[in-house]
Amino acid sequence: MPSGPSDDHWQTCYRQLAPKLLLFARQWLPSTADAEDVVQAAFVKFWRHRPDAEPEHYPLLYSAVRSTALDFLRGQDRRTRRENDRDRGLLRADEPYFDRTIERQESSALVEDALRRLPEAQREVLVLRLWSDLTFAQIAETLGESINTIASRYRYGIEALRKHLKPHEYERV
Amino acid sequence: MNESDFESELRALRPVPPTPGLARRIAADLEPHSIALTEPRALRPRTAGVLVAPQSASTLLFDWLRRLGWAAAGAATAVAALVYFQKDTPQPMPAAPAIAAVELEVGEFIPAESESELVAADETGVVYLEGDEPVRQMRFHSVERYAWTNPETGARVEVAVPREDVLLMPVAMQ
Repeated sequence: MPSGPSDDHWQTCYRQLAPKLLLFARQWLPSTADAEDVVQAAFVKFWRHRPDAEPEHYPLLYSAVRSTALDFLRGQDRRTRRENDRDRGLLRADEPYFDRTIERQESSALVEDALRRLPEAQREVLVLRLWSDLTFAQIAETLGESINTIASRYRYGIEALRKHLKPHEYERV
Repeated sequence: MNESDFESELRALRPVPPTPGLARRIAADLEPHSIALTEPRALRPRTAGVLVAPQSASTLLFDWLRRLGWAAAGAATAVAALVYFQKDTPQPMPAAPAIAAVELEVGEFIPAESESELVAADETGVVYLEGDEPVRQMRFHSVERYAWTNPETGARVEVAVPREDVLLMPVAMQ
């Protein structure tokens, strides 16, 4: 019977990664509450299987969050087919991705809007690279793609983001 | 602004932190003895959204399964006790049930065709097997169709069966 993870281990990891994992989960789940459920399930599953996990294993958490979010979506699809349009609207809560400090309130909203317009494949690469600090190699491993594919998705994603933000005379985020 | 500056400015945005309840719920899950700290989701403070999100069905399902588990355990105990206390009591042999002679006239039908159509293939990412290393999971959804025909009458019977195959491939993480 494997021993459970020590408090120090998982809490250090949680403090370091929780906001990033939450942002990553929200690429599929607009509702923060649903995204937190997914992060909780993936985080607990990861630490139960790897109670001695070290920081070099942390990128696996993103894979766990991704697969849990996709499983959640499949279940949600089945449910929403049984629900009427009024109830379905409640699942589309539009909550912010980033901290909206006063000086960055407007720019945060612009970036969020531009991110939501990107294709999912580009958006998840940008999120992992810019706000989770993963390397292209780690992102490739997480998403099961080649490094070249990831690098080109990132490049196209950045270009698209600039294009979306340009009409707003975006100079300082 | 060049690309590097643009990326730096984007990186300066801080993702919204989770609610404090998330850490407590994870702690409760990872430390079974501190289950009392579990915070019911219905009591959790919501974020700035105006709309109140409905309670997740996954949470409800988990609670229901947990209760069902206890109910099943109780029922199994009751059945075990019943069998144990009755095993020494001589029981009359039950009469052999009369088997109705039902003859289906299926002999005239012969297999006509069978096919398997792949409808979708999804990669659902890395999952963990119990006590094993991580594996990459693929799901293949297909529909299998079988048909039988009766050459004498021209009658045709068709059956379509949905099928899901899950393929697990070991992942080597560096």
